[in-house]
Amino acid sequence: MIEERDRKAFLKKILPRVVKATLSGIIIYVAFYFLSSLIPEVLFLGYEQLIFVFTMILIVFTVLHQLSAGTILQFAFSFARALFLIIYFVYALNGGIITATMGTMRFTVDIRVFLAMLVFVNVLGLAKSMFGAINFLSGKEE
Amino acid sequence: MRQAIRALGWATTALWIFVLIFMGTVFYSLANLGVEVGQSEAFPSNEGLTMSLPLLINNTGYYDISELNLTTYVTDRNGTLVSASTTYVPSISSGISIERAHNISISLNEFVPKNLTYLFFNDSVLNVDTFIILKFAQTIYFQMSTNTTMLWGAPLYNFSINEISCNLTDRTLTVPIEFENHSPFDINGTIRLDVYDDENEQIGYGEVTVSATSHSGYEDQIELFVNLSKRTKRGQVHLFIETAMFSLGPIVKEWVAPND
Repeated sequence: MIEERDRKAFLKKILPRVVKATLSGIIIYVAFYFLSSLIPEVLFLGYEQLIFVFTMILIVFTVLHQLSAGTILQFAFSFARALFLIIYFVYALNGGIITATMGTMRFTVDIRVFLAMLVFVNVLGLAKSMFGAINFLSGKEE
Repeated sequence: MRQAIRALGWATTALWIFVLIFMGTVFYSLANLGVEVGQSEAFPSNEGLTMSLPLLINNTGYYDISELNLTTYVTDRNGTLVSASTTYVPSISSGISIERAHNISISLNEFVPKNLTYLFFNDSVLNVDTFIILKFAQTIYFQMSTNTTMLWGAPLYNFSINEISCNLTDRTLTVPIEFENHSPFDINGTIRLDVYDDENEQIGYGEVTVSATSHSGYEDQIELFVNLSKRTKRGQVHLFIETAMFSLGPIVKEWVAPND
């Protein structure tokens, strides 16, 4: 009887998280699917794999973050996601200087300002995760 | 602490929205940027040849284009710079369309100091390197470069001074000249001939007008009166070509008088 009550409580606790995590994952996937269909294909040339990896890892982190809501792991996953995004953006955007060759044409795009914006946003995310974790732990202590 | 976390959360969300909107609008603006390059036209100028490349840039995006710089470098097969031309547009505001002509000037007068004299006499292939640099939305620098070739038609193709004949009785030298004008412009000017004896003393002089239309041949026999002494049996003819576009010379050719 007690066991069944515990199971029910556990399901009651975990089910909304699973639903939330699934929905978040689906929303991210659908958003990327629509965004990629809006942006001209030529801009993705050579970046398809990187964009796919980005989408998948973002979904994984979001699902993990949702599943671990209310635990210290939530902040750890948020921190890891922000850190991953910083490294990913620096790597994928080649440090802000992108070069491409199409036939006899060679393109160079300097998007370092844009990269700086992305890194800054994720640094704020890192700070938020750290503060969140400290707050969570201090709340538990009290 | 909670307020700080909340503030950071709001700031992160707001910045993410800003960055995503900025990224989306930049992509949209770039995709809608209309750049048309018209048919190039070549026409003669005072210095030589000018090629005009009409450009139409229609900025239908949300952001301004600034510091647009179109530079063309024309080099010969050895990499020697034949011509460098730049067109600069300081700013193209959003919703504005501009039309510019990018002029590539090839100055024939600079061929001699640049050691490109062979381009007067031989057809060739010139390399054209084009660079387009612009700043988009005041933050994104964009550079495009392309490499093409263009055919160069020599204005004095196959220029030759054939065997100079010397008539001792008439005291004349006959200098046969021929060439083909492969260039897209007409040649109008003069050919001056200075005749020297074997002691490098000028013994004759002559000048004729020359007119060779584009893609046509020129052939003439120039007759010159010379002050021949008995000692003078050989010498040199120095030929100078003067046109509005270029000056060339001396082209030196030996002459020999027949034995008595």
